[in-house]
Amino acid sequence: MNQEMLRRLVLKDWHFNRTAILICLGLGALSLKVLTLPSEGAFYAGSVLLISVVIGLGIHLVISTVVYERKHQTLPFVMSLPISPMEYVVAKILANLSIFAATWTILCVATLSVIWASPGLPNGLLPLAVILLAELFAAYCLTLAVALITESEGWTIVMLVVGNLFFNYFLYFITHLENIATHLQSPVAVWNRPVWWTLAAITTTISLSLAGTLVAQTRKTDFL
Amino acid sequence: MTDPVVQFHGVSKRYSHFLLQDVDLELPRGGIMGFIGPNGAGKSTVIRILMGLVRPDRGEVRVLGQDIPKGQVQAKRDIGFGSEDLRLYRQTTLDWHMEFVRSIYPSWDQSYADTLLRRFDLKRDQKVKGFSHGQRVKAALLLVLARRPKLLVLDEPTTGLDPVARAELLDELMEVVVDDDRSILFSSHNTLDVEQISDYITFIDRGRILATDDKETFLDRWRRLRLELPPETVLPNPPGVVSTQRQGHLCVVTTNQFEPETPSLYSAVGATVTAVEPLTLEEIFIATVRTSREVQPS
Amino acid sequence: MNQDFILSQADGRPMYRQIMEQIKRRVAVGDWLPGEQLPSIRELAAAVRVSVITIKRVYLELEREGVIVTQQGKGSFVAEDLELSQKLHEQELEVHLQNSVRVASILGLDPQELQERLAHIYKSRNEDTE
Repeated sequence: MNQEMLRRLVLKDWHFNRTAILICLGLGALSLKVLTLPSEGAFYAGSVLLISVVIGLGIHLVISTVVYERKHQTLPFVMSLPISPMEYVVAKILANLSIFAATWTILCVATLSVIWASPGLPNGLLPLAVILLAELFAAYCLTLAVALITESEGWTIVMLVVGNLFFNYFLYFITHLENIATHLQSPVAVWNRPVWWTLAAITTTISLSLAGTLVAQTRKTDFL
Repeated sequence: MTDPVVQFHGVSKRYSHFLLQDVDLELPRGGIMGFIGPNGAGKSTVIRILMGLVRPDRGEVRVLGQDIPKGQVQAKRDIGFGSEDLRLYRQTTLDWHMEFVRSIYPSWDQSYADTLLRRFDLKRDQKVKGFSHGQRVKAALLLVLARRPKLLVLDEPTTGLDPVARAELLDELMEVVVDDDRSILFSSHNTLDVEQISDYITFIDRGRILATDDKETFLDRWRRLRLELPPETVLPNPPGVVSTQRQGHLCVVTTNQFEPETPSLYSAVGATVTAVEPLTLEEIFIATVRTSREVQPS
Repeated sequence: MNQDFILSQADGRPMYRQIMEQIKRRVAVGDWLPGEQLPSIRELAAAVRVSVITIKRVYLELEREGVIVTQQGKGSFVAEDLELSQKLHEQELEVHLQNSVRVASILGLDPQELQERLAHIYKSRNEDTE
């Protein structure tokens, strides 16, 4: 792998998305502020805003770094650089994961700290928050994989819609799972077996979608 | 003799509606090859294969001494690629692109880049979004020319340009080959551009190479003979006659294997050769495509 | 040495012919002097904006006609032949006479008639200049 070129391509995507990253962090801070306001309505509003920020960042990144590269015809420019098609995909994954993960981690740590520090919010919410944020990460990785594998705007949008519908189902499913639901209002976080199993499933999904993208790239014959 | 800079041998690629068939191609070092074909003939596919961006089903490709696609990274360090459908990042400036390209290629020549900025009348701090089509093409070309690459590969570089911009572009391409170590391969459906600056010419149609040769040979072998004939004259049929149009006493014969003795073949049967005319590359191209389509209807 | 050549796209002759013609004219009128070095093939190609192979051909044909001499590794020079300009004009005349004979035979003129026509042109031209 041509590390120097990978670094430049990753930095390029960071550079082009710097405004979006800052906006997401700003909106993230705002949603955390709302989350801690002493009312149940504010808690929901803050949660929804926070989830929307993470989903929005994911959509923006996949569209702007992968879909637009093809749609706005900058792909021939990138592919004419001294890189192989595999290095292109690796650079895209690294750029996306690093931008998303950096922003996601900041939001994640902030969310957990807010829940932990707020007297109004029970610590029993912590595992749920981790699971939901992890699910959003996985959904993002899947969308990225679909975008890189199909290189199609249409399929990427289909995946985004499916991902968001699934999140609603997932939210319902997880908050009604007996071993998790019963501990939500508890003053201490309960990290029991169902929590770990869910997190393991999410991590596997992330790994498989990224590995699948790399395998798919080795089987392609046309890169432009 | 040094190795050719571009070499295709028996390259084929099948798509559901298109077949690129047994492409053989050779571009000697220091030469300019014009690659001519109608839209959809397979020019872009050949160029993408050359760049390692499309993997052929069969055949061998060598570019600048590298096997393609395996050695594409090494080859692309010395290739400047431009294409009609290549766009720069619209949200940023030409200056950003110049910095980006400069950071990748050690061969970047800043003073030449500045000269090109002036010659092409481009503003480095303007966002690409605001460029006209001609400015976009020139900006993209500036980015490759200022690297002084060993091989320039340009897919339809003059398409959509006004005559002034086209002339500017051809001027710069000619500058490139003052250095005899640098070569150009460019595709076009504008035969005038190709006729003017190419050393070698390749015709492609429907995925097959119809002809490839150096330009002077091409232009020399094709001639149109205007004849006056007594009625009932039986014309000889030497090899290479592409078309014969006879009306009354007049006859026009087009050949692609003209020799100095060819006119005497016709005088010998009683015809008067009133003119021997060269053909333009455009006429030669059209005649070649038509003949090939008659022999192999789609 | 001035390298600006203006070629005509509308001229039916091949480009190498046009360039040869213009170089010969420069030599004939004495703008390019005997012994003077010609630009390198690639330089001239870039200046005229035609392909290298076309200029190669121009030099080759000019050498064959004795207008220039090429020394391996040193470049090409205008031939040091004092009679050169005379020779070029001779060549030009030859081409025109050949053409005249060809057209005359199409018109069915015999050599006698052609000579008379020629004499007539001579005469009217002399009258004009007097």
